[in-house]
Amino acid sequence: MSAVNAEAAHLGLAPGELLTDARARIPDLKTRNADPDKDRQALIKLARWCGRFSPHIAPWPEEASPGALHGLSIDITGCAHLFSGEESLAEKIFSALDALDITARLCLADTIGAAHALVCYGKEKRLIVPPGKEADAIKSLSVAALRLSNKNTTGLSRVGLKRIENLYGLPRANLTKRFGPEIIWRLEQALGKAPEPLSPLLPHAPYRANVVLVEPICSEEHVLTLIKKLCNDIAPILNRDGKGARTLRLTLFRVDGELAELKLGMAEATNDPEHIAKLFSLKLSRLAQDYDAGFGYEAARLDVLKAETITHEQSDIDSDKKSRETNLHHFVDRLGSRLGVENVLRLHPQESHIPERAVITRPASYHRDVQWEETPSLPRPLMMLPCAEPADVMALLPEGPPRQFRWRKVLYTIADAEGPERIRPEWWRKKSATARERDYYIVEDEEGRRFWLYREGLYDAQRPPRWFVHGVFT
Amino acid sequence: MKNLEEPLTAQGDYSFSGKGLSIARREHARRLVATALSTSGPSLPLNIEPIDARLPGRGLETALHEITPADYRSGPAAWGFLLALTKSVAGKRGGPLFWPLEKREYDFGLPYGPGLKYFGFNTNDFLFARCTSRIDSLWAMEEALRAGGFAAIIGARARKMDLTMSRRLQLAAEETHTPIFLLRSINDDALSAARTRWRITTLRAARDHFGLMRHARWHVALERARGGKTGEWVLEWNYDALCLRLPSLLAGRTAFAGEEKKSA
Repeated sequence: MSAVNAEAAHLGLAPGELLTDARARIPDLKTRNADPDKDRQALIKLARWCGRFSPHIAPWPEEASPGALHGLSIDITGCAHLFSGEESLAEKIFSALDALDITARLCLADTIGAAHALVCYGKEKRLIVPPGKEADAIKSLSVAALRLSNKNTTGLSRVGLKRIENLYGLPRANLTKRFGPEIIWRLEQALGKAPEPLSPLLPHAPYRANVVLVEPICSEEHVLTLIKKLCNDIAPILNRDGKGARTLRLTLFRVDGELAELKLGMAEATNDPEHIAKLFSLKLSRLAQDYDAGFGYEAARLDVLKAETITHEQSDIDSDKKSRETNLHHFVDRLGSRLGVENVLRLHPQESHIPERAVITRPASYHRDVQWEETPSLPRPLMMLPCAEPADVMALLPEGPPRQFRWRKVLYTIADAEGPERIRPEWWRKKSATARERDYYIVEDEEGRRFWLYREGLYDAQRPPRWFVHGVFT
Repeated sequence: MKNLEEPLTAQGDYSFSGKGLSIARREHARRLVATALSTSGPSLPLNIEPIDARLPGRGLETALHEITPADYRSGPAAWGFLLALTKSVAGKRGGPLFWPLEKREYDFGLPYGPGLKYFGFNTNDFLFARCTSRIDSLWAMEEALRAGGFAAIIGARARKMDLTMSRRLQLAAEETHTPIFLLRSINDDALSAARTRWRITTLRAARDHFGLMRHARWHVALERARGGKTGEWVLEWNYDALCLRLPSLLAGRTAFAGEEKKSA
């Protein structure tokens, strides 16, 4: 058994016992299979949900570990006053978790170590340690509360050091000599004498805006109003620093603990609240079918994940060109937020003479204009098939131009052919080591349809050559 | 000829029911009629005398135009003519070109950068949008038209695009004076608010002095021109001058004899 609930514990069951023993004692015991991965996921979800209280949250333990106690460290530095004091913040966290049917213990202390020890081994369900009183608060706890390894815990109790207060005032050198540096290190972390960094779950966002609502909202229209408010909150701050947002994340907190996240990428840094709100509204409308407010959203947060300095240009010279560019960028953003940034494309040349590798598409948001080479000296088709399609070709001479070909079940009689244009594989690329050279022909059928055909390989090789249709001319 | 007389209010979602139209609808309908009858923005001449003479205002209006292939396998030729029109018009206007791509409408492949370059376009001008549904591509086109600033919008006309949808595009095009060129598939017989419709048949290419294929040629029929006249021509895309031209008779070689017969 890896975990038991309060009632089972009351009946005398404890984690670590064998299931058969427990069944023998209590025949109608209800059990579920333990799923550490799901537990971990639930913990992370809860951590994100707690994002409404503070942006810096770390779930522990760091990896999924069945049987261990799980919890969250929340760094509330600078956040308590937003909830009118530490007392009321603790109260809010407690009641919010209670509403989610989560039994929790909570301890607020100056150090992560002390808070952790009191949460796991303390007696009270809710405790606020006054500043500087950690040593007193944890002195009566077992040494295991210091997050020591099993070996050290048993080692300490073997020499009679069972409680934390026994460690106070012991000579550090002797302890380190006997048990290694861990004990002193953990003790000092708990007492605030050694640093303990918190690695937050979510990346640091330089700018953010928060809204907590009195009553939850459901309709899309209200959510849009909320988004507009957030955008209007954040714009002056960005403006003050001369920054614009490149990547944004909107988090909506649902009453039942679910989260909805929307991410936005911009073609150009912007601090125009209307533009940002418009993009979010497009994203929302895209979600139309999946949009599920449940019992409503009760809080929202807007993070600017990436901000860039906006260069203010003199506007009167060539202002028309500038405004046209901004107009285009905004259009690209709108497209991107509805179709996905990766689906708004510009063409980008590549240095390759293999036709299908000569050009790639790139998301327009990241694209900068590049100089294309001179116009190709030999004709290139307007439309290319996504991949060359095999064709049955008849040629009069083995090495000669084709006379007839069948493609997509239709027979074309060739009236005229131009070529070949020989394109050799790029031997310096690993993939084309086995590729064969191609002979390209421009062919025209009797009615004036023009195709780009190629023959792969030569007749004298072991493998017979194959023919493909690669593109169409106008 | 069904040029001017196409009823604008009696179809689509503006049906006359027993109780008559609501005031808002009547007002909307009146506005539609008014805009439909007004000339839409400046005309863009093609600089081909016989064609310009048949178009209202001696040029293509900054409005919705449709190009349709004569048969399924002439699709690429129709795209060629569509791009030729785009190039002639966009060259004068300047600015980016927007092209939403919806894979199902592109049986003969997707636009190819070097090919567009060879055709005379500046490849940096193109902005593509990969759409997964027809609604998305319609939305993108309308959004682009309303945004303005584009030299032209290119696209494939989605099958099942009804009069209302095409009218929306047409109104948006008039608003910002942006031309939009749509390829219409052959089995599409829906009504459309397009200002012109062209039908393209393939022709053998012109030959140069060495007998090599040189300039792409099409047989072009202007099937419908609101406020103008219809007509038929043989046109070629001149890869030297990068413009749309009537083939000059002097340069005519072997391939030309066949065309005369067809175009007649």
